Amino acid sequence: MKSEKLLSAIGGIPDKYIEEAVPVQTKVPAFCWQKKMGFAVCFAAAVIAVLFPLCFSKDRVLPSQKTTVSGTPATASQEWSAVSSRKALVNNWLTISVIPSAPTVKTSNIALLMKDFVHMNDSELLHYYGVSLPIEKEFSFLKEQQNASHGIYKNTARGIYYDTNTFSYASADGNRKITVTLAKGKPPLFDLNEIRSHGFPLAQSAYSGVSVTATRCDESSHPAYYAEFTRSGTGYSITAKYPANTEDFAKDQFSALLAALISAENKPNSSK
Amino acid sequence: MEDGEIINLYWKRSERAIAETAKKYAHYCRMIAFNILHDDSDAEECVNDMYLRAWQSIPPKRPEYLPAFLGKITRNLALNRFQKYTAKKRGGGETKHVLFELEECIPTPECIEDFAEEASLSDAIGCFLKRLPKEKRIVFVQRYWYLMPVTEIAHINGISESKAKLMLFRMRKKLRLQLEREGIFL
Repeated sequence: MKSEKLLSAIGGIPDKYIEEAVPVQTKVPAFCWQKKMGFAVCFAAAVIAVLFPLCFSKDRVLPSQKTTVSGTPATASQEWSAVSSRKALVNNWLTISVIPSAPTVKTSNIALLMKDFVHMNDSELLHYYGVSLPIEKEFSFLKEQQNASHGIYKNTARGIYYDTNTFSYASADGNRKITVTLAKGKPPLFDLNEIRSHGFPLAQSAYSGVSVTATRCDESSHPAYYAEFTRSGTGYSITAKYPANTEDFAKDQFSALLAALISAENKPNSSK
Repeated sequence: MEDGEIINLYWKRSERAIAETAKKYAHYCRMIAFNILHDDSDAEECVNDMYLRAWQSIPPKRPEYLPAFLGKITRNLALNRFQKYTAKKRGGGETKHVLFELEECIPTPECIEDFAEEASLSDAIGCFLKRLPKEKRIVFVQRYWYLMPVTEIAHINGISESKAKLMLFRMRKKLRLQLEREGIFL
């Protein structure tokens, strides 16, 4: 049968293509860009107009200082100022290294058997990792996209052998997209600490005692941000894509996003 | 254990070579065999046969990419077993669908005698893959090398099932055109 001959011949393709295609549970989903630059630029301008004065306000409140000078509890409007100021202030802690091309997603030789897949809803999964993802709460214009089912792989012989899951968020116009990929242990996707720029490792930043490596790549027409860190025994790999020509705004928002993830409340750990 | 160290164990004829291979690649190879045969015990037998073939091949071979080397042995063993089962009207699963899809890539009518050497066919397919963008190439290899179901390919790559099917359909057409242009007849 000739199709069997073709199938057999496909077996002889170069090894590098076989390695490249090793099935891994999650991959950073492809971003589909909608060219609605006019709306995106207007929206970005509106947000910058709100945040810009706060960056230079002499009355900005540090995150720990959510009370007035006299020590009385802050009013609602002062709380709002404190939150906005925190978002404007936090970009000072993050150093973002620029890299020439997007980091390579790590491949894994773990064979995933579908019969070992245990489906988990978001709440169960976040309890498993012992973390929370307050992205919709902090950034109301981002909504979680239900692209793939979540869960872990386990069997009686190996226990839990694969637990990487990706949570995707997007703005309504699709111009801003965030993915957060989690796994117990090390950050699952890129290994940014292995990248070398002129022979030196990428800069690391610290927020609340968590060491973060963050990069930006301008390879395509839209800047893409990547960051990794480990917190409370869970590895985070974050990607974010923003419309072109919004680098300052994107950096602020990316910093605020990372700060929100690091500061998020821990959930009690559970194992399944 | 690193792949280079495992290969050295084979060259030293140490029995630990098989144990270390099993520890690192048993599940990977079992996945490949299961995708073709859709039977756990048959897949397990293929993997066990693979260990023997690997032991017999290394040395003299010193594979550059050990997982791909072991994967190829497993795939060939599983396909041979599938062909026997097909003759006996047993087995099924994804392999039949893949063979049906690959019929579209055959450039000539059935009446022409087949004389393409498998090596030159593999080379032509390799050239075809080289020209593909990485995302499409991964989808093609996952479908026609790993014989994964389309739904799983779509899930793993973060694309819709219909997009995966459309990509595969277009790639099969392109492969057929390429084989015709190169005068490779099956």
